[in-house]
Amino acid sequence: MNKALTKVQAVLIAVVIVIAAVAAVGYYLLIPKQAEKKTVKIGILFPLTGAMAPFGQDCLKGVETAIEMFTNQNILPNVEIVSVVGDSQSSPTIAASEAERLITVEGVDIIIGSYAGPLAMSIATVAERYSTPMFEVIAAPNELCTRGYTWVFRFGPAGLYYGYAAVDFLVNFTQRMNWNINELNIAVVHEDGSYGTSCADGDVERLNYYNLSGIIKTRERYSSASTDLSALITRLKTMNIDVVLITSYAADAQLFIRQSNELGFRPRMIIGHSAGYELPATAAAVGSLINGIFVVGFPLYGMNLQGLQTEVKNDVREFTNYYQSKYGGLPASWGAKAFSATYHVLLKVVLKTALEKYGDITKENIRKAFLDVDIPDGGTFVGFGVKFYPPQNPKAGDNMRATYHPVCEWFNPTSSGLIAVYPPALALQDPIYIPRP
Amino acid sequence: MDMPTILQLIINGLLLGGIYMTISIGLNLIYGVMKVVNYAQGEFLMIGMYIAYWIFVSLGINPFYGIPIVLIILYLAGLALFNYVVYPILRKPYETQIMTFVGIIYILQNFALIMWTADYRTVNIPEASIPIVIWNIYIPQGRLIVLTIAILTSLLVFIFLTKTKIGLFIRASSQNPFAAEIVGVDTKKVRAISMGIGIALAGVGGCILLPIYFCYPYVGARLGIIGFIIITLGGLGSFNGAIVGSLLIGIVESAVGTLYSSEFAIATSLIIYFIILLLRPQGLLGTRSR
Repeated sequence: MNKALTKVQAVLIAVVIVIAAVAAVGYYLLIPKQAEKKTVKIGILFPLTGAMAPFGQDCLKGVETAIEMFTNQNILPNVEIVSVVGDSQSSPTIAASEAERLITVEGVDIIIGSYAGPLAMSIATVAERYSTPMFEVIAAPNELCTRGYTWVFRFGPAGLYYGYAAVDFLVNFTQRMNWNINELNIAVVHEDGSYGTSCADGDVERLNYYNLSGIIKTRERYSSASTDLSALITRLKTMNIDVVLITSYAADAQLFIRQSNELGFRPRMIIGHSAGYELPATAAAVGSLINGIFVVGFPLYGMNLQGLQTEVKNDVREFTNYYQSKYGGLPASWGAKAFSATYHVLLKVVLKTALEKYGDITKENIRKAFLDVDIPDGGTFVGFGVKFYPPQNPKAGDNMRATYHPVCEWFNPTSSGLIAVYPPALALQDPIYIPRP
Repeated sequence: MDMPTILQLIINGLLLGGIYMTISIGLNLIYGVMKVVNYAQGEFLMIGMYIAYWIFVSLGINPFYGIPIVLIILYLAGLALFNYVVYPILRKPYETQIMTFVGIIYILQNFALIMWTADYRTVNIPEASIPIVIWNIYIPQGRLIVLTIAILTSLLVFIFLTKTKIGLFIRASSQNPFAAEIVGVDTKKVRAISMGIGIALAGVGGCILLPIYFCYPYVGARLGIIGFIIITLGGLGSFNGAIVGSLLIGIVESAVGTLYSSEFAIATSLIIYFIILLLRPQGLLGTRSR
């Protein structure tokens, strides 16, 4: 039989409920809560398969190392970084579809990539269409940042500046050697993609700047997929070329050096622009034939780092140790460059600014934070600082401080044989003239 | 243009033709007997390169001397490929055959990627880079060896096809498999042997090209396409056509590249390819199929 509560019982129950409710609210308000973490998805898109895979794999390792080190250091404790890796398969078409997948299916907040010019151009178009920031860490086509894109930012120098560095060095070196530069025959040779064309445009533009356009005997284009360069080399030989300013990827770089020797083509100087001429595998393939070849490149362990900020110098050590413990061996220069772009620019500055200045890490805030970046020279591994041209500028998104690159020389065919020799501020030693064998 | 340059141009073309022969002969043999285009021939060449590289690194055997080992391994691979993959699809539509070989391409490329990573592997044999100089004409030793081995291999294949009993069976199976079966030829076995030899020839190509090119999982794709163009140009299934096509493309590319521009060398050989196919669809030395 049910019995109604007495007044005392009802009051007691009510008091217990009220006390419990107050305690719960008090607990909720007073006890510090575990803060909810903001998840930031970074799409990493490099050529992990296909002809450019060795370069892409190195870049991926650099970016992943940056994210892991940054996370371990707990610099943004309330931010969880999730990386989503895509593979462009060295194909511009696949690069575009992968970029679209990363944005629309994976929902990434930013895409970082892409190593090569044609891939960068494809990804940039997609990123712009979906209003998603794209951060290019390596690729150098001049036109990447001349199309009025507002969501595309590039860390490294445009190809134009690789050409400038090559010609500046040429002029300096000929003076050092007491050669009359006006008597030299110069060939500008390049693979016919956007990377080669950009560097070669820089060569030609800089020679014009020095009033030396008359010494350009020829400009030769070829496909980087060529399996033979004997015709090109025979042609250069018949023109009595003294200096070759050349831009190649990997397979064609070793082919050019090897076949030049086979066909008795011995120019006074060969100056390559990064990529294949900087690759240790090229040196291993051609052996001592690599000696004396100059390269516009970035040998992190073969250049003068005195100009770097103290903190960045420490980062070089920490990065090297972390990389060696994880992967074994030293990182490739493009891997180190990808690391520095990710670590020093994207993670330590852009994401931090987006969160602390704009309140949240969204695509729009990432874009705004990119425009706020102001890293002085010495603030990255490569030596240059970072500040991006604003949207109204004809070079919108390009790094206005990435205008130089060291020039290096191969002294032996090992990975430590590439040493910076110019400009003096970055050089570890003076250039030495080693005639072609 | 002086005479040494013209001679140099021709020699460059012949040496390049030698490289193209290494891939086109095996490809053509397989097509001639089975009427199947092995689109993965370049990938088998790549596997041959890796095996030769592995033999060089672990046993110190020069890739040229490693040919017999690679030959045997890839011959066995060819037999297995025929029995488990090609034979079941021989009577299937062309689309099925094409998709099967495309699948094999991806399997082999990714197999190499997993086994050896995407790194460029290389073997530096300095002697191969030393040229022989005659009248100011440079003949690279490495490429001369490639051309010599390519010619020798072609000759051996030719002798094998024309002077041996199995060669007779192969030719019979190629011309009329139905009639060959009626007279007691085991066409399945003959086809398997042809496939094995065709793939083994790709392995020979891999050995002799290793000192010239980087070895990486996608190196076969470049050469495989050229091989396909050459055998179509020379005449599908025509042994002599493959040799003529290789040398023709080599010389055209060399001439256009030297006289005009390297950028147009490959384009010009493709234009010639289209013109020849337009005028003679069966290829230069091919026979019209009925």
